[in-house]
Parts: sequence; structure tokens; C-alpha cells
Amino acid sequence: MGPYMLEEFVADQYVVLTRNPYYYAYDLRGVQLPYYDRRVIHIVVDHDLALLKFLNSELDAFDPSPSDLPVLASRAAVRGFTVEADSALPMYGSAWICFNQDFGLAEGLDEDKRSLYRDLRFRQAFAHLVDREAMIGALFHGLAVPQWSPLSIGSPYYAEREGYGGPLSAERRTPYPYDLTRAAELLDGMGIIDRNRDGWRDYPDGSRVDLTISTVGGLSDYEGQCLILVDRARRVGLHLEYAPADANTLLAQLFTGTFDMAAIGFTGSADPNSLVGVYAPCGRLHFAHFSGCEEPTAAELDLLSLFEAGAATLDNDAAFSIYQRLQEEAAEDASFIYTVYPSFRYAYYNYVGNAKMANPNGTPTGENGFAVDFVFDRRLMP
Amino acid sequence: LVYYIARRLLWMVPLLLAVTFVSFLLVQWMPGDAFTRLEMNPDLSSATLDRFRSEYGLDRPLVAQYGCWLWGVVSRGDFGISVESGLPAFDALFLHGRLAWTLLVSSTTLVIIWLFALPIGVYSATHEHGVVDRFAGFVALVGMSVPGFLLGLVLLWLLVVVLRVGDYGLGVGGLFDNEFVGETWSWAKAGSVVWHLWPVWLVVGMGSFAGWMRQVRGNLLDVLRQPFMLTVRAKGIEERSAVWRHAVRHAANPLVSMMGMTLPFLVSGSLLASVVFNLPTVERAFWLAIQGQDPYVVLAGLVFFSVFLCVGNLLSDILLLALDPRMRGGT
Repeated sequence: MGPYMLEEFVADQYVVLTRNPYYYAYDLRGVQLPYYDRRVIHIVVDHDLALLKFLNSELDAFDPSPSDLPVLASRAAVRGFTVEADSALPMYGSAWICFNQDFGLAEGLDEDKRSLYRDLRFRQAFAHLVDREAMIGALFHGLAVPQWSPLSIGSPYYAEREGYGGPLSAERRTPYPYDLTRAAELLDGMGIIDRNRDGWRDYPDGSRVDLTISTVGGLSDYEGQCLILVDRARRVGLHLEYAPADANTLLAQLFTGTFDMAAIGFTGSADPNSLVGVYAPCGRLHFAHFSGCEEPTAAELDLLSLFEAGAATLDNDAAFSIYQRLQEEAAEDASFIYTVYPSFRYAYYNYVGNAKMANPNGTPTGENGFAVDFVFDRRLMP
Repeated sequence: LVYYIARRLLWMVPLLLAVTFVSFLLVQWMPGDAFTRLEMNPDLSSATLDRFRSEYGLDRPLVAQYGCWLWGVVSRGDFGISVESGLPAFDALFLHGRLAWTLLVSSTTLVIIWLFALPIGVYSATHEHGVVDRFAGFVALVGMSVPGFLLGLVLLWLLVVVLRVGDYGLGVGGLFDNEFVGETWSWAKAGSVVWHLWPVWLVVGMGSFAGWMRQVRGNLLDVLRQPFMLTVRAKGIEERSAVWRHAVRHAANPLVSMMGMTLPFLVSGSLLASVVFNLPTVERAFWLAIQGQDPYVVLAGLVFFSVFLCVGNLLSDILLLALDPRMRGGT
């Protein structure tokens, strides 16, 4: 039994929870937990309204989006609340860019582009265009971290983590850092150069390289990442257009292999094998290269065997070593280029005691956020 | 009149059938379905997703889906099951007080629009080019130009950041202040509801108020210039009485038909207001169903709004018949 029991649920409005008198936990002074007798969780659809309700002192705690932070920070001292944002505690999940390596395959068209996406050098060149620092600064106000691997940063097997087993060796920790010169060199080496001096790179047959990257329209973080990519691609003469799409339209394109390039993300967990369906050649989410099910590449087979080996071992040290190699190889393959992921952040009024005991793996206002057993109201203290 | 109403009601049947079919096609033509987003969940297998689709009949041919749905509606009043909540689609849309709140918001907005639009429109017409007329014209222009959701957000921002109503214990959005959560109904709680609803009335009603007010003014100006008004005045009838008893009555006819047309606008206006102000209305449930591509809830909503529109038109026609004897010739 948890610390609270359901008292009332009013659809579309709120949930009222009352203290469980039979809860097992006590604090060090022998006081039964939780401290609060009652919790109200407001059901608010519109995030802007939730922000205003927090500013209006109607909510004790709130999980802000990155774009809310300047608004909150400028009012925190006056209104008496605290904004916590810990860039060392990114949440579970991943954000990535991927190429459709089967582009035009079904119709027998666009072989040039398909070859381009299947060429490791091109994917590596594109990986060098990802300006993670600019994304973190411009889109997340510094409250995000670079991501290099298919594992969630919160996973104990994430190879960049300081501590157990990590980090990656110095020469491997940033496989493809932002480097326009290196990107240009790789493209030049492939023969993708500006042949007609119009400022844009062309295929060997003289036609311009036209790429399109899509994400879900309205997801400002992803839209911003796409726009930064468009700009960086332009700097090396690569013609990249951004095309926002409806969520289901984009997903339909992904699953039918009709997209060009996509920027989106997965939810994540501590399980290092949660993305095996993305990398396995016959995986349901292997939309980067569905034809790999019939003709898998060496890299695909290698990654699949590493996923399987990691799941099969009970030796934690061996598992960490396997997943470290898997992450290095996945990063090197660059079928999916991981970008940046937001850090854990939350805001609460200063009268909420023990608010810093928040759990980074949930939202602060949800059950997994604050350690709800321990939060208390300072105004009621003698 | 009874024959006329019966005929109109009968005409609504094929009309609603056509609406359901077109609505069904629209829902089907939306990219993906209710389970498409789950495809991105690495923990769900294709077999699980196929089973979900099969359980909700989404794997069947289009005509079979429509036929089953229509038969369920006609034979049992069953609008299907909500994919999101697992509840019957009708319940997911209308129960939990949603229909009552929708009717309350729409009807009170309609009354408030009339209460303000009619006297201001009449005053503007009888004081043409005066200060009030010019100011009312400006307000009408703004009211018709500013989108409702923007007006709603600006109002909320003004209340919270500029006026800081929170310092006085007043909330924004939702139905009432925090202190009334879980409390039984009282005058204080009803007062809190009024406080939370006035911005909604303003946002939902602003566009219609502006249109009606200008319509009243325009119609009345036309009527005031007609020869019979000269006769009325020549008989020595007081100006106020001449305007309200004779001119306004003639000018009101087109407004009655406008009232019927306003009902769907109120619903569409309160759709955005319900989201911005977090109201537990049918419109909000409908909006969330569209977002989640919950097919049967969307269909139930489209049928409801179509009925709302048809009933609104019928009511305005009946009122017009009652008010204007000249209209009865064609019934």
C-alpha cells in the first residue's frame, strides 16, 4: 500500500488523494508518513495554463518545459519559488536523427540518395554537422546533455556515465564531434562537391543533393534541432530542407519506409536492450533500413549479436563491457545519430519542505517525482 | 406548424446519415490510427498492436466498419468504444457532467451576447456616428479580428502576471478555486464558478457579440429610415417607444435566424476556450479524441455537433415563423 489513497476523481478536473493511515513508513522521530494529509493533482491539458496556474500560486509544484525556464527564473525570487534544473540528471529516453537507407527502393527510384544514405562516410559527415552545443544553448537554455548512444543516459550501462565501468576511453567518447571541416572533407572524398558553382553540393552526375528532414510539427525542441541542422548543412554546401509533419503522418512514413530523413525520439528505460527492435535487421522499428532483414549489413549483424550477448549474460561486468562495445559500434555506424536530451527540472514554492528529494526518473508533480512521503509544508511548522 | 416541424425533423435523418458517412471517411483518411503512436514503443510487439486493432475492429474493411458502427447506433444506441478510455464512446464524450457544462457555457454565453449586443446595437443606431457608436465599432472590429485562443491567453496573462489575482486567492482556468475542491455546492462555490467563467464568456462570445451588435445597428438604421417610421413619429409616439416597440421589432427578424447559426459558432469557439481554460466540456473531450485519433469518440462528437447545428437552424426557423406572419405562407 502506498502513502496515499484515492478519495475522489473528477474527470478532466482533478484527483484527490488522502493519507493512508496504515502506511508502513515512519521518519526517524517515529512520526508516521506521509506528512501531508491530502494531495490534489490537477488535470490540466494546456501546458501554458499549467505554467500560469503555478505562477498564480495555485500549484505547489510544476514540471516546466525548457522554454518556461526564463519566465520562471525571472520571477522566482519575487514570487517565492525555486526552480531546480540538474543537468547531471537527464531523464530516460533518446533523441536522434536517422536516414532512410531504403529511400525509393520500392519504386526503384532515387538510387543516388539511397546510395548516399547507405554510405558510412556520408552518415559520418552528417554526424559531424550535429552542433550539440548550439542545440543545448539555444533550445534548452543549457539544461540538456549531449547524447551519443542508443541507451538512455539514466541507464546504468550508459557508456558515457562517470562511475561504474565508464566513461568511454578519451579517444572514443565523442565519436563524431561537431566539425564542419571534417564533414566537408568526408563529402569531398565521396565526390559530393559543388560542380556548377551555385554554392550547393552535387552528385557526380551534376544534379544537386536535395535532402529533407522531418519531425513532428509543434515539438519545438525537435523543430529547433532540425533548423540548426539545416543551417549547419548549409555551411558545408549541403542543401537540407526542413519539413514539419503531423505525428501520425511522420510515423506512417517511418513504418512504410517512405521518409527521407527524420528527427524524433524514443522513450527509454534502464533496460539496455529496450532498443534492440531498432537495431535488429528484422526489428519492427528498424525503419532506417527495413531491407536489412533480407540483406543485413555486417554492422547490423554485429550490433544484433551484441544486444543478444548483453541480454544473455548474468555477469554484470561482462554485460557492461558488451554494452560499452555496442554503444561504440552503434555510434560509429551512425545509422541513428543521437543528439541531445533534456535534463531533469522542476519548480516548487519555497514553503514545500524536502522538495529537493525529487526522483530524477519521474516528473516532479507525479508519484515518482517528489518523495511524496517526506514533503511537508514549512508554513505549518511551529 | 406541426407539419412543418415534422417535415424538417424527417429531413434531418438523411442529412445526419450523410454526415456520419462523410465523418467516418474523414476519420479513416486521417493518417495512421489510434495505435500508430504506440508503434514507437519499443516494448510493444507487432502482434500486440495487431491484437489491439483487431479488438477494436480497426483491421476490418472500411465499409464493414461503417456498417457495424451504424447498425450499433441505430439498433442499440451504441456509438462504439473509446480506444483511449475503454468506455462507450457516448459516455467518454458526454458523461461526467461534460454535456451539462457545455450546455451551461453555450446557453449563458448566448444570453450574455443578447444582453449586451441588442442594447448597444440599438444605442449605436440611434446615436449614429456618436462617441459610443464609434467606440462600439472599434470593439466590434477587435472582437471579430482577434482569434479566441489568443484573447484567452492574453486575458489569463493579464490576470496572473499583471493583476496578480493569485495574491487575492483567486484562481484562473478550471471551474473553481482550489479551496472548493471536493467541497459540496454552496453560493461561495457558485460565485467561484462565475469568476472562472467570465473570461470564457468573453472569449467565446466576443466574435458573435461583435457580429450581432453590428447587425442590430445596421438593420435598425435601415428600418429607422423606412417611411412607416415617419408615420409612427407623425402620430406623436415618443421616440423611445417608436424605436423599441416598432423599429426594433422589425429589425430583429434577421437576428433570430442568426441566433440559430450562432449555436455551432459557440460550440467551435468553446472548443478552443475549453482547452485554454481547462473546462470539462464535451468540446474538450472531442479535442482530445481528435488528438488521440480515437475514431468512435470523434464520430460521436461529429454527430452531436451536427445535431446541434440542425436543431439550432430548426429553432431559428420556428422562431422566425412565430415572429413574422409573412413567413408562414410557405410552410
